[in-house]
Amino acid sequence: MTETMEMEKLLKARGFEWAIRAYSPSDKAVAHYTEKFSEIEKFMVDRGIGNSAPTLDDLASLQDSNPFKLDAFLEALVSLRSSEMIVGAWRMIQGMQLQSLELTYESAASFALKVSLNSPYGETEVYSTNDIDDMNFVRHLMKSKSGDRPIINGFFALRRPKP
Amino acid sequence: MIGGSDQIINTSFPAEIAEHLLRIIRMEWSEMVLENAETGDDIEFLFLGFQSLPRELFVYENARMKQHWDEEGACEVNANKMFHIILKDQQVTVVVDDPSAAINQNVVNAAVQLSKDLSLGRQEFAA
Repeated sequence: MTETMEMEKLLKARGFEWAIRAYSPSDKAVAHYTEKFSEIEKFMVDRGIGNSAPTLDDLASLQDSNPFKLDAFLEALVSLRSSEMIVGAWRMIQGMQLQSLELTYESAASFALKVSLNSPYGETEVYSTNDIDDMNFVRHLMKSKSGDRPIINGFFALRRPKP
Repeated sequence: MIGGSDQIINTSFPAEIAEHLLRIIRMEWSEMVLENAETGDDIEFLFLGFQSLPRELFVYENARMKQHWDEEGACEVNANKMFHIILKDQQVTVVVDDPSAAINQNVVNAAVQLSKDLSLGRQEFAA
């Protein structure tokens, strides 16, 4: 099975037909998402974190162990523009914590999003973008409070199958 | 936990809520120790990553408290030093000693808020 076929299988298994239909032309959608997936690995290798790059086997195993994490990643893959922010999403799904987030926007002039992530081992990674098509990253973050302390934790899927 | 108080969180997202609970607890207890309540095995928290959480787990403040629980059971010394988390299909139960203790309130409220936020932010589709 080719990578494109594996990607198509995963997308359909998780109810992402909508993402295939939404891409134009739709018959190139799966190839496009597969290419984006390959670009993630290249980005991570360049950053020196290639060992943590997701493989299609990783995604397939997530389908059994943590389908909600697989859905979150696939939503990032099909909805975010830059490889950098998709990697940021992947690192949060892997367990890195959001340490800080900066979002600035000026109407019809500029957009900037920067997130700093901490690993449980004390390492910090920064991901940033100036492409407003990456704004969806923020929609996947959920908030809560512990006492009076604000907490934004986790990168979550926005869609879920009906039980 | 005999004598504990069940804090029930009704949610469509038990796995997400359970993982969130662990992250919130870790903010309070940086040396927390996790135990699979079904097998008694320790669970490595660092980069939970791809592993599934068990349906039932204990979270201790630290290794010393875990040992204390193992040796003494529930007592005054280890009160409010352990969470018992139980996952069901549409529910997460957090068993605590004293629900009015600040740490217990903070942890449970944070989970309830996340569940509400997830419900607001999500759309369901027919599988």
